[in-house]
Amino acid sequence: MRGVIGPIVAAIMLGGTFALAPHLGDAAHSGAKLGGDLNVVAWEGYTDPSFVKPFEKQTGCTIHSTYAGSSNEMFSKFRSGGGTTYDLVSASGDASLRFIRAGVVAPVDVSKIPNWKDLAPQLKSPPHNTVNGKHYGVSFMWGPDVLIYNTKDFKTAPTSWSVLYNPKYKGKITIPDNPEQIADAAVYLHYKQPYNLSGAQLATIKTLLQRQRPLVRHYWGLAGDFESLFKNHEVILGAGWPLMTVDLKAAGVPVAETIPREGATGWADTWMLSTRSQHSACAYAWMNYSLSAPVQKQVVAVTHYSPANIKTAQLLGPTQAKALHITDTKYFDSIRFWQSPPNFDKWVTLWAEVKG
Amino acid sequence: MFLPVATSYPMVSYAFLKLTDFRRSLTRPLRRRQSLALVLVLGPPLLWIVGLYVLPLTFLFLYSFWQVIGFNVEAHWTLDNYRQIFAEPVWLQILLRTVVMATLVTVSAIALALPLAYFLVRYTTRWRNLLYLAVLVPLWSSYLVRVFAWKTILGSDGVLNTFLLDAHVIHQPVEAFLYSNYAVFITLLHVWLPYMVLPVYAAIDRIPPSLFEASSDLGARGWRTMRSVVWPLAFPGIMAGSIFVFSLTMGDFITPQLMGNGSQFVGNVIADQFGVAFNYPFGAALSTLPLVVLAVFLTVSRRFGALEAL
Amino acid sequence: MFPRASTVSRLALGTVAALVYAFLYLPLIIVIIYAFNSATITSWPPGQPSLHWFNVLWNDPDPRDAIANSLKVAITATVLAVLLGTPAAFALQRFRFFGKESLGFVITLPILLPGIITGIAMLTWFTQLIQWGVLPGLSLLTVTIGHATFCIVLVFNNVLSRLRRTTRSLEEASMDLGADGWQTFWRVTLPGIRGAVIAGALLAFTLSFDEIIVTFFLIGAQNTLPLWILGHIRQDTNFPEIDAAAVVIIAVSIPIVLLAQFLTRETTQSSSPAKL
Repeated sequence: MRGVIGPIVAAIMLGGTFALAPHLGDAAHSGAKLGGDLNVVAWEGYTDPSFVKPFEKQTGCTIHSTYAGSSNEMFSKFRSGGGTTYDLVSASGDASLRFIRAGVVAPVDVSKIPNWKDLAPQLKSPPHNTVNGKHYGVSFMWGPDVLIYNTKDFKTAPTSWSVLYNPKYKGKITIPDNPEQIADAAVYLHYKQPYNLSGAQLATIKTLLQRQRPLVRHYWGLAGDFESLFKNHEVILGAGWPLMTVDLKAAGVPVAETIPREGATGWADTWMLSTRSQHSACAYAWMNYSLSAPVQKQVVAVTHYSPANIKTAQLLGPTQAKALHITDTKYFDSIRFWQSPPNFDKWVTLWAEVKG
Repeated sequence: MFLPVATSYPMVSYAFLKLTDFRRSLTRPLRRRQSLALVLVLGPPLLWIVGLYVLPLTFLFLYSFWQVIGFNVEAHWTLDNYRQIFAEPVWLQILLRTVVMATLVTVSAIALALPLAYFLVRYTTRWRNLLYLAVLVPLWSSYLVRVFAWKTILGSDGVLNTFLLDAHVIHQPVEAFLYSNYAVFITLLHVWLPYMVLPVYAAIDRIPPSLFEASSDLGARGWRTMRSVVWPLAFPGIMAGSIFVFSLTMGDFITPQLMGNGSQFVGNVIADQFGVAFNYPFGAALSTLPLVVLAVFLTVSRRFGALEAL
Repeated sequence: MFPRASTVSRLALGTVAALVYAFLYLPLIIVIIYAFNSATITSWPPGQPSLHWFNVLWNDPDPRDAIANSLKVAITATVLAVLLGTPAAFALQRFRFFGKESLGFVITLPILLPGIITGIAMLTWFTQLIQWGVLPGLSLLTVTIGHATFCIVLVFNNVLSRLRRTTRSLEEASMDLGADGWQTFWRVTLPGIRGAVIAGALLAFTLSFDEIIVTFFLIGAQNTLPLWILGHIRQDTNFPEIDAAAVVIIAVSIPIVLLAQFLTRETTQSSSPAKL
């Protein structure tokens, strides 16, 4: 398949197609026409119109965003079409190293991103996006996975993740449709290394998750799924992200979030740039823009995640800055940030078995 | 003899048609001219089908022997993908669940389409065209919107639960309506039903009315006519519809995702390999599972249809 | 005739038919109710009647772009399908050549096999072409190729079955009167299959416009209308806006399809050899 005949035959075939569909030429590769289109795969909330619109006005770059519900989905989406479809991705720590090792993201020149110097010290060159001193992107937001509950059904906040495994709440629970959920079970079981689990530990977790299976109303894929389940009162408990609490409260749904005593998994996200991006000028502009303190404040308003830029603390005021632990490195260290487990294929199979 | 299933509407059953009578050809002149005409007429579609369909299918098959190494797909030949499918029972269980679902949906669609189509042909006159078109209308309203509408109907606070609560049939909302295999079944039956009605209607429409009259003159009641006249003569149409409904169900991954309780179907696990796990080779290997099932189904139905038509 | 038996079966069948229509139309009625309603959450019962969501839809550029993309894809795929499917049917019905039956089967495969197979097969192949530098990337073009491939079958099947049913006597008469092969084709054969071509094209357009599975795999960063709807469903934003969009689509398509149905029937009748 690596010979020359294949491409030649293909070229002839496709030549015919192009000839027949000339008016599709402009749509053929939306990225290629103006230099102004930035295709982004991001977590929900990261390309909210409240701060994207001003950016588009300032720079003339247009952002087209696609949402992903898990790191895996993000990785696959970004790589579809040989990595030509998307320019930027908001990769979490578990995926960012995968992007780097696959060679699909380009080193970023941080000297062209003035706001980079205001990042929290631990987020300037973290091991999940900086390899051998090369920066493959810039840190953006971080935060914990939280337990979200309906305050009408829970007068006081649950103190343990055990509620998600309690038959009392059968059919009222939602958890992410994502093998990383195994790490959350590991945290609940007090395993020391939730991303480096032995066969025996995985077997215990499998039993736990299989017992949880009938309790789960629906495994959510995107934040939207999660929110819709709470809005329609299909569930009263779920593992989710702070963004959902914000959205649900805004929609008038009585919810609150908590981090149970066992601790929490979490994420630290990085804007990464495709090696095949033809719009790196726009991409750099976006990276710098999204790291500026005023914009980070706007992202906080949408997501309630913690901003990477510590100057944002001044704009948010002391109360909110403290609540978001912007400068609290101890808190930062207590979060079990997502990682790619060494035996990830086992995790994927285990997850399929739990659900299948 | 062969009974044409053909319809002004779809698709239908090339698979069942025995090509007949090609003795005469359009142009009598020289063979060479005819060859040239054939090349001109057949060349472009042939190139398209081979270059843009057969080639990709072949390539997909080759892919199933490749591997993801270091987060990239490499042309490193291996049988590991197939070994992996048979190493864990989960993949074949998923296939079995999908086949059961596809069979249930298909059989139910026949059970609904046959009486409907027969009713339209036999007992309607003035309204027939309108009623026939009414089967098509749902096809023009988005598939996804209809799936979503079922979510509204079946939800805990949905139309059905509210109705049953108000009627005091139930006292607690029935949660199993939504996010369950029932929900997947109902939704799939709804969205694919028109694909069964159309060929079945076309087949029954082609039955000479005199046969119905003869049947009832000979004393056959409704059920008997249905069994001895309608069923055998409509059979190729039923098979055509079955192929569509069965195949569409086998490949759907959106309805199970939106309506199901997380139970995986073949379409979901294949789509996940491409959209989530980034393991195209394993996804390619998984896709041979429904292909084998469909190959068996097509072969059997082809033979079956042909036998019935004799 | 046995009136009683007939009445009973008529009643029984009529009941089944009514239930089937209820089953087919219940979701559409729900869609219409929510489209004309002010409620945000689609749980029952809905709120006040309102045109709110049509207003939202009207001011939202995303669905407009998505509809434009869907139209581009569906129109191009339909044109390609007519240009390729009609001659394919003609070749299979009017010529003799080696491997004809197998070819007929292969042409039909894209609708016999599930869309997901077409989608992933083309995705792997196109990904390879992109790596070879033959294709720039996934886009509306790749989606159009995917759609055209199954649209060809729809036109092909319709035309083939029409050709099979038409008698050859008219063509033979034309040839006997001195017309050559092409004249006969243009003046006699083509008018005879026009209805079938239109019906096939109409079906191709309809299915392409609503297609999501193949599109899901072959699209780049753009949206088609079904993908926009899927995104809306998954992101839980303004559900009833989808319902409003669906109502608009139904309202626009019904007259078109009725008209097309009417037109195809006219041509079918007037050019049917049996009538002459």
